[in-house]
Amino acid sequence: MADISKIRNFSIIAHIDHGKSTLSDRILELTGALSDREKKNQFMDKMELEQERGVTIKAQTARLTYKAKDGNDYILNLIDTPGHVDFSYEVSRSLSACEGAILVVDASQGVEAQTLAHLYNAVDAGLEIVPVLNKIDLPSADPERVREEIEEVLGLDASDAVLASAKAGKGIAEILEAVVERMPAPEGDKDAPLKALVFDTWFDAYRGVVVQVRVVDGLIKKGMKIRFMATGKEFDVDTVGVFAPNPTNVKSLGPGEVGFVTAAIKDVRDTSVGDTMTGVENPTQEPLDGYKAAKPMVFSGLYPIDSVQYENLKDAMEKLKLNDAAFTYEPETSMALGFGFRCGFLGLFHMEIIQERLEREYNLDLITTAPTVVYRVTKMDGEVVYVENPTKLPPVQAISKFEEPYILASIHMPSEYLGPVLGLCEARRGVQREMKYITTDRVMVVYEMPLSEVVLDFYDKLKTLTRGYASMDYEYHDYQEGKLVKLDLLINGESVDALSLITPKEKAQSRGRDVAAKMKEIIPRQMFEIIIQAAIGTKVVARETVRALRKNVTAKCYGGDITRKRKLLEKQKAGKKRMKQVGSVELPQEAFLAVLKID
Amino acid sequence: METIKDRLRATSIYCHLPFCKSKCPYCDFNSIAIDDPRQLEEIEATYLDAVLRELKDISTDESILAVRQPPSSVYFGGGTPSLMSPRFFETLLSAIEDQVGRLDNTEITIEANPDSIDLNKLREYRKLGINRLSIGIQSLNDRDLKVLGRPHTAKEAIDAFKAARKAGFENISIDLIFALPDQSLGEWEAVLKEAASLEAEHISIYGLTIEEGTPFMASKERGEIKPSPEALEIEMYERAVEQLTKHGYTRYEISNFAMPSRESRHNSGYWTGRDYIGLGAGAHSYVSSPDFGKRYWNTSDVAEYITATARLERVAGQELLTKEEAMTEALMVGLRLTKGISIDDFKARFGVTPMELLDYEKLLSLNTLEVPEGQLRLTDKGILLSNEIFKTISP
Repeated sequence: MADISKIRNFSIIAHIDHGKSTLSDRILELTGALSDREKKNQFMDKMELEQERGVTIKAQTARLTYKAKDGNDYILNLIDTPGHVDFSYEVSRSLSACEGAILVVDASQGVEAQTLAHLYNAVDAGLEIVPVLNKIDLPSADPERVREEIEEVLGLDASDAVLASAKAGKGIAEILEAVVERMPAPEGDKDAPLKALVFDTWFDAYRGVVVQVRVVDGLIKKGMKIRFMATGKEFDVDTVGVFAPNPTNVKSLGPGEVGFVTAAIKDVRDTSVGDTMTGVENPTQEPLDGYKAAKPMVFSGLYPIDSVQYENLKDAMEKLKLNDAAFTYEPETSMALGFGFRCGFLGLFHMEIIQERLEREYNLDLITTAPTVVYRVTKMDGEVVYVENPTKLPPVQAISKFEEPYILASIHMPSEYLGPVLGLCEARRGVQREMKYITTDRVMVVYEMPLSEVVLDFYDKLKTLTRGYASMDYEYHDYQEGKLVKLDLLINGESVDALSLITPKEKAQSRGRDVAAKMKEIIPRQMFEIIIQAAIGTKVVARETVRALRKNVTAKCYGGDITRKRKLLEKQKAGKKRMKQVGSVELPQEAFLAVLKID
Repeated sequence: METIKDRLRATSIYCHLPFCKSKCPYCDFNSIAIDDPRQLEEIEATYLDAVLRELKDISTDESILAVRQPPSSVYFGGGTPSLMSPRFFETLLSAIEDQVGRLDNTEITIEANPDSIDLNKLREYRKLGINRLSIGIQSLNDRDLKVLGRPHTAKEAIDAFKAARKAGFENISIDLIFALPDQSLGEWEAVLKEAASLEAEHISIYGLTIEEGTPFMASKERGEIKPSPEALEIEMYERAVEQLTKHGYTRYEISNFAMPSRESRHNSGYWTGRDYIGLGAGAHSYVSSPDFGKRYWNTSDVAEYITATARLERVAGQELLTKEEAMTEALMVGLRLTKGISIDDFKARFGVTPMELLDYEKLLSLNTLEVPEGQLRLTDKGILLSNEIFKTISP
């Protein structure tokens, strides 16, 4: 067990791309935690997808030893936090495991939406903040301006902000000195009953569920019996260890320490993030506060293109679920798409990550239906149902109240883009709640908006409108009543259930027209005519025709052409296999997301 | 009665002569432009040596059926084979007789450009036993010929045709291209009418395909030329079928029309899966057995081909066909023939009927296929959609 006064637990918080991962790597290097062989860029971002997208999806930790200028050896626990708003609950739990946070701000970009969101979380968690101005060696860096911005906008004393360039390795030791000097050591009682915060879990094929914990009071030792207070499940501890950064077993973990526990836990759902771990023999009476079960907010249908892949998809989802308690799936059947699953995600980003992992890691070809939110429907008989699939909507006559979830979205942007952004928010049924000039040329707006408008490609539109300069963060707000209708799409007269969507009544007609027009662009011409119709109830509001293809013929095919033509044909056939046959019509995957592509 | 085995046993020899005076902007064939006659003479000699070496090298290979028996056809394709001197063909044909077999009953075709043949040359070709001439006329409209970058006029093309007749060619084929940028239906009909009046034994008509990597593709991307609208191209094709039929031709393949018994024996071999050997740069060879056959091809680089003496250096790639690939090919080429494919023959070779491999019910209901007298074939509508139909092949 370590000397508690020489422990520092901290996170690095930053807006995306402000250099968090690079700084983590430099800290690992400086403390000698990474051998040369391991000096692959961004060690902390483990998953391939994370490295590609430059975003941390699962929290990682590293226990580092640092000899400070005062001559003492310190144990620094660097707790990485997920970098996306979809995982804000996980972020808040990771922060709860710390006493301090390094706030990284790009010295050329300044304060962004997530800078603010992360900082609020860190302040909420009572953390000591050490501001760092990163990327000071960029020609466009303006540390003085950004320092002022931090003070004005964040109300944080930035006079002793550390100037750094993680990329060039500048200022790293100064940052660690600030961590040691300014951040408080943890407090705790090793003789009190065990109380530890679970801030991450994942499934390991050999050891079962690995639980990352921060001990508050008491000790965790190998062989002891533990209980997760929210789930009530009990296990015998197999191993106790720390990530240094490679997993290393230790005898015990005491107050203030961060590490991992394995206990032959088979199901990741037996222990969720935010839960409190205690001892069975001498349990604590009071769990740590702040526990919330992860709740999916965005739903979409996932279907294998080839129905023989159904079982593979199910297996793959089971495996993903082992590592991701927030991801949910239920079997569902679509007339058009056959057997598949209705899946729940924390947000759009989470949805994309899951889809990509299923396709890439499990080699599946999937159809994804347009994302939808969870509508709250009160029926005439008073029963309240939550509808996460438009096809499950009760008949109009049976609905007495139709509500949809709203969010509070805060958007930061250079003020020159204010006009277009306000236009976009208004068009998406947003109601302005706040507008604030952060500096003379940066502005922040807060809008109350239906989540359904945000899941329909809002983020991409925002990025396009502001040439990538806007940043956005949001939190869930409440349910509000709306005039909503179901819009159906018909292909050659047959309603395709997987294409139905719920939309506000006043937008239904134009949305129907736009979706039908977009479908016409997306569906390739086939050997017969294809009629696309959009309808509300029995009323057709739009109609488009994909003309029949009349000619696709190769003029010459002689001895030297045969191999090439056959290979071309095989390639085209592979492309065709990625289409879904609905009736006699072949629909490309994008057709099911057409509603996301309209302007 | 001729059995499948007999038919499959007929073999042919193709020889690629990849030289042209100038490169046409729509052409993506393997050819190089050589304008200087002295340079051409030199390269002709070294290329001939290389082809003779290749022939000698493979002629002792017992595994290649096409070198163990007299060929049913020999075809000189290009490029512009008619740029080569009669001596070139004399040497090569006699080497084939020595090393492969007698050319008594063989269809021997040479491709020619109107600007590279005259009566004398044609007479000499004819004397060597070359009995079929395929003239790349392409159009009989001077504006079209200019668009196509052809180095000849319509009159020169007609003169060349007449010279060929005079030289004693009784089996002449002409090539025409339609659906040219800005070509009207009336203009195409005029070309067809004049072409039919030449009374060639065989006519090939090709809808212009703008191929990757050609100057035409670059012009198209710059918006300088516009491909013919689909409806117009269809109408042009249909009009050609109508007109040529009226003049006594039979469409026996998607792009090929012949007077009775004047079908190209050589090209028919490709569509019925016969063995062929390909000599020269970039030429493909096909050996139909054992198993489902093998196809291999020479390097298409002329200089590399000339210097490569060993077979391993010459052959740039090969594939052993799987059953699935062989079935796909049999359908893909067989259905190009208007008579279609014999259901029994197909079943005898592969153990399944061709219908089982296609989205048959749907294709039938769309009126793209028909099954008369034990044959499976495309309808007129199906011919125009043949690539779509082939996409449904699932072996």
